[in-house]
Amino acid sequence: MYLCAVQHRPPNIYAQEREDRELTEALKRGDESAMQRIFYRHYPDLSAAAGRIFTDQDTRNELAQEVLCDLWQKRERLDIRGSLSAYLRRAVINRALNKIKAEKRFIAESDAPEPSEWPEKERERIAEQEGLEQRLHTAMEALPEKCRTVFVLSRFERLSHKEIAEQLGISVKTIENQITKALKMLRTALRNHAPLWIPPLLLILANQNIGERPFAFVYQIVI
Amino acid sequence: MILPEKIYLELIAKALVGEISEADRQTLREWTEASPENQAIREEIEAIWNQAESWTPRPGISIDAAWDEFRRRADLPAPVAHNPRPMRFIRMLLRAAAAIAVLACVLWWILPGSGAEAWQVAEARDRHEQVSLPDGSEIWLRKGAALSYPRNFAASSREVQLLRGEAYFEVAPRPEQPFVVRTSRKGERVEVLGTSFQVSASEKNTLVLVRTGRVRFSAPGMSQAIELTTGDRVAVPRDHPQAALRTRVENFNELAWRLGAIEFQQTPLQQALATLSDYFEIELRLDNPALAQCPCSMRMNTPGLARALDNLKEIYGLTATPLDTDKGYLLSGGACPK
Repeated sequence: MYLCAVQHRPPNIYAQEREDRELTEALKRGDESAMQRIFYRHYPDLSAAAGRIFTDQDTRNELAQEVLCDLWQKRERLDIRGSLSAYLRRAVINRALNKIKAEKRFIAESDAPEPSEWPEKERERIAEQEGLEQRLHTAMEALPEKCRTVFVLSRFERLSHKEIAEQLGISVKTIENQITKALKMLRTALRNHAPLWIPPLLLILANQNIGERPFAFVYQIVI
Repeated sequence: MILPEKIYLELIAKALVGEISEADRQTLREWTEASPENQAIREEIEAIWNQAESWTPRPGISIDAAWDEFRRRADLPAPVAHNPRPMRFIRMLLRAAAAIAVLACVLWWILPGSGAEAWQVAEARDRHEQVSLPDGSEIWLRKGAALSYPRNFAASSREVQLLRGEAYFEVAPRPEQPFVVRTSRKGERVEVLGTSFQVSASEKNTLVLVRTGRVRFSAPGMSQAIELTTGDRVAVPRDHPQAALRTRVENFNELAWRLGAIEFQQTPLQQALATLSDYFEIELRLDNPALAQCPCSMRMNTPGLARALDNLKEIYGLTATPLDTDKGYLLSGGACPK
């Protein structure tokens, strides 16, 4: 029996927020270098947030660019309540939602339902992945689009079922079904992962300062 | 207890996001505790949910290239920075608006209410209760809390009164009819500008904690109303309103009774036990004072007491013996992990 540690980094949220506030103040004064710092700090996260919904690379980068350009254009009139990262995150998700609505991806509930079992090709692709994380990530990206979008809005963007239903124009019951389906498919995708995977009892965040950045270990007990 | 996969997955998902009804939460707890297999399934699903956090699609281009693209679009270099006079003016306007809001508060209290019908009282006696208001807002009363609300709202605003205890509000957005929570202390009110927050009222003090959105809080003795947003918490002692304390919370453990999520990050063990004691409504006494400052880092979702104790035992090597009072446990032995 051995302990296998998988690295997982949560950011130190509140220190970052303080710096963001200072950067925002500088940005309001038209400080370009502040904009650059903000860009370098937030672009990856915004691209990732959009990327969970739009797997296409160009789309996700485009949305991130638009949000940051918009921030720059509005810099003098900025009035941000709460954290900058939350503000930007909300902005990119709003744009993503508008895009979904514009492309009418979700309108017809009577559309042919998306598969709730993994098609052969996807199953193989997932099984090829060796590491647990890789397998999980491949599976998430391979989820049927509607299903993945709903799951992402709930799990990552923390929208309530009601909010998701309103935004996408579908019923709360459908939302719940989609999330259930996502969990079922993810569970299937990970089921035959070898070695036998006994899930960690809880996510243990062990703060061990390497340099100045705290990071966390997820302990998996592998027999 | 057997449940089809579709059902238990749905319940677990709802519990993870805190959108589970009390009845469903009971069902889930029964199912989870019915067998170790069920417990394992629950943990498996929660582990998937947790592990998903690490999914971070990469931009696919270098950040430098992205910045160059940005510069092109934004047409940098930008014009020279303006002097911040416009912002100062706006700030002045906001201050005036806040003063007017407070004045309006006081006037509202003095003027007779308009049009609201008979008030009824909802009370959570021996379990949490949920109240659904006609406008779609939901209020969760923690065990022991009581709230009075009208059967129909007045035209100008939606008002409820928290008589005692803790209540968690999820307010339906309706800007033309602001949602206001009053406490039993005259003139004290929380006006909702956003969506979810908790107010708790006892004889000693009033507490407001905002989960999402914004509220405006005003109380007698405060020179102006204050606006609170996600993570803001204000505690106003009844006798000394000037000693009101405003903080930013590091986590939303105080809302665990409603949301289920408990998170500790390097929290001193003594404090973590205090939080858990409050959540489970039992006493968790630490025998060895040397462990009081041990850092505790843990994240749990709607844990059962057994699981929480198991986690503590595993991390610190503690043993739990029931207290004489039968209302808690003594946690003895153990050591800080390296």
